[in-house]
Amino acid sequence: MLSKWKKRSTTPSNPYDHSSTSAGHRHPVLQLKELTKRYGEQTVLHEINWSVQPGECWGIVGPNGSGKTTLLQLLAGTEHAQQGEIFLQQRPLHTYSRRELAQHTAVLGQEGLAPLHYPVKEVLAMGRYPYQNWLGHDQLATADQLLDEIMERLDLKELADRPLDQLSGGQRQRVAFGKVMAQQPKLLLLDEPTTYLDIAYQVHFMEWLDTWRRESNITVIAVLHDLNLAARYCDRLLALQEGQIMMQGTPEQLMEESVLKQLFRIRPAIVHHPDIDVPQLLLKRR
Amino acid sequence: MSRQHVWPLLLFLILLVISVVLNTGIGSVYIPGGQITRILLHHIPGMQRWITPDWSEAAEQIMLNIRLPRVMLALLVGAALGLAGAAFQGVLRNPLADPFTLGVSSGSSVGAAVLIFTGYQYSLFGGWTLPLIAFVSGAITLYIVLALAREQGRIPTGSLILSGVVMQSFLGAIVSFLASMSEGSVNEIIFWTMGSLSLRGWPYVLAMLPYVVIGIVLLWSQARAMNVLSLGEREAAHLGVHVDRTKTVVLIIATLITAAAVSVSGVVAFVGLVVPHMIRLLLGPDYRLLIPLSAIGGGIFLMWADTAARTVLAPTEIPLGVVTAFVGAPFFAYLLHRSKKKQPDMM
Repeated sequence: MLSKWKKRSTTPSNPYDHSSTSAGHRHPVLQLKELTKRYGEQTVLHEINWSVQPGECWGIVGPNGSGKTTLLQLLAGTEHAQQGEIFLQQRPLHTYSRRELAQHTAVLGQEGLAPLHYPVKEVLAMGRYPYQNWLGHDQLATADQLLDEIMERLDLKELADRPLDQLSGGQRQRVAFGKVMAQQPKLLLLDEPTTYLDIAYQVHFMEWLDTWRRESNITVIAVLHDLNLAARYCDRLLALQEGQIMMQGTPEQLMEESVLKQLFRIRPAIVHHPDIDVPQLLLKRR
Repeated sequence: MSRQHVWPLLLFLILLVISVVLNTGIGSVYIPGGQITRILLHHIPGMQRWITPDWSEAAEQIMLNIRLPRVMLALLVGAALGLAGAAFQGVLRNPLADPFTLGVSSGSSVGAAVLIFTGYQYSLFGGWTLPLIAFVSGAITLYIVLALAREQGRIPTGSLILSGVVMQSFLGAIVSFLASMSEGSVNEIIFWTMGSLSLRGWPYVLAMLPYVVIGIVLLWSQARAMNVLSLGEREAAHLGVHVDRTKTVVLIIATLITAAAVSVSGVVAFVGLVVPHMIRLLLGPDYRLLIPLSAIGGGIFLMWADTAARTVLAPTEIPLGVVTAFVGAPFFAYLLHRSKKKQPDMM
């Protein structure tokens, strides 16, 4: 039933399936070189050097105003840097057409979708836009089947014909997630996707993401406010502070009391998750 | 084009044909629908053998030379305004946008009026001069209105309409002033500011036709992009839409067909507002359906409005824009009320 997600990881032509090759031969999906972004006088990002390997899940953390969202916009191609270069698949990002980029990179924001009067299945179908020709024919002959599978997996079947403006915020975010899945990206950018979700939805959301990521080998870069969520689901974390990289590493390396104290100016206490071996954060009073 | 879109389209086309026949029949001399159909069929080559003329020569003359061209012109002008309205609402993502509220109609009428009152309407490009100049002045107006309304890169619903109203009353004053200066009568002023389709005839129908046909084809080809655009500009960019290019193309086409309509009919208000919204209420927001149905629906709406304009106080004609404003202005008020309640700021 979920063959289509799995297909990408079993097709030999897939450039992201490196399961059989040794790690030494891997090329980074993304490479940022001396990236600097200014808005007027203000420097938002300063000489960022960073590379992302295929299949990795990165969490971008840092205080408000540290440049997290701007970095994501630059990676999505909706903002442009003044200096430096982003290489996507070893090719400068600005040489990609909008359509090529949309076939490669999908973005999911914190607000989900506006309460429009479009039915759920039409919104999911919009995720296929970058693959359709001017007559609306999809490159993928089984696109309808793909949409069905996504609805099945995200429990959207009963909502298929309901317009978005009749759904709750959590349901709309689920539709937004489905739309991004329909886009079949190789790189997924998330901007605080769980902000407006209650705790149960947050867990659901991250579990769907985790399963999808493992099945289809996509690379994920997520801006997350919730450090515990980031430590729980990401392989690597990137800490931004005032537009510069303060530190990058595994959750264990970054979730250190000294690091977090400096990054967020808080007094943290690090404990270990009872079931899985990841550090989790508790706060002490000032 | 999926199957679910075919039925509404077919239904609207049938309504269109019925409206053409009925509106051609209504007037000081009533011509029954069956007779109209037979006269029309009689003019199709090869059909003469099957239909024997049982109507008076006068009826045929009235129908073919007076009524039918007027009805067809109403159809085309209505189609153009309906299309332009749907297109403006789509790319500006503003429920109150239409050629009239944005000031584009008035802008086009200034260009056309200047040309006509100075007597240069056939200079430069012959028959194309008038719509071309109307397009240029309409496009300039739209540019100014958008620039006036922009606040930090965003265009709030309210300020867009406010800028449109300001431009529209200023430009309307220019047109009225020009008309007062010329030797023409009061009628001419009313023609330009309130719209009319009287005394036009077939050449105007033929001049209007290419704009409407090209407008439908080009705007329909942008329908999916406009659907995606309703998710938001950034969202649309992430899905591979060239946002700026799509917006520019659609705005130019919508302005062009508005200019063509204004060149033949003057300023007819609110058609582009009422018709797309009615269709949205009935069939939802999908532009793949909304674009063609706004054209057909605009045609149907204006045919009936024009029939009302010429028959209600016959032999006196009510300006066409008066009839459409009677329907459109209350509808505008309703939409304003609704959009305020639902989303204080749509952009």
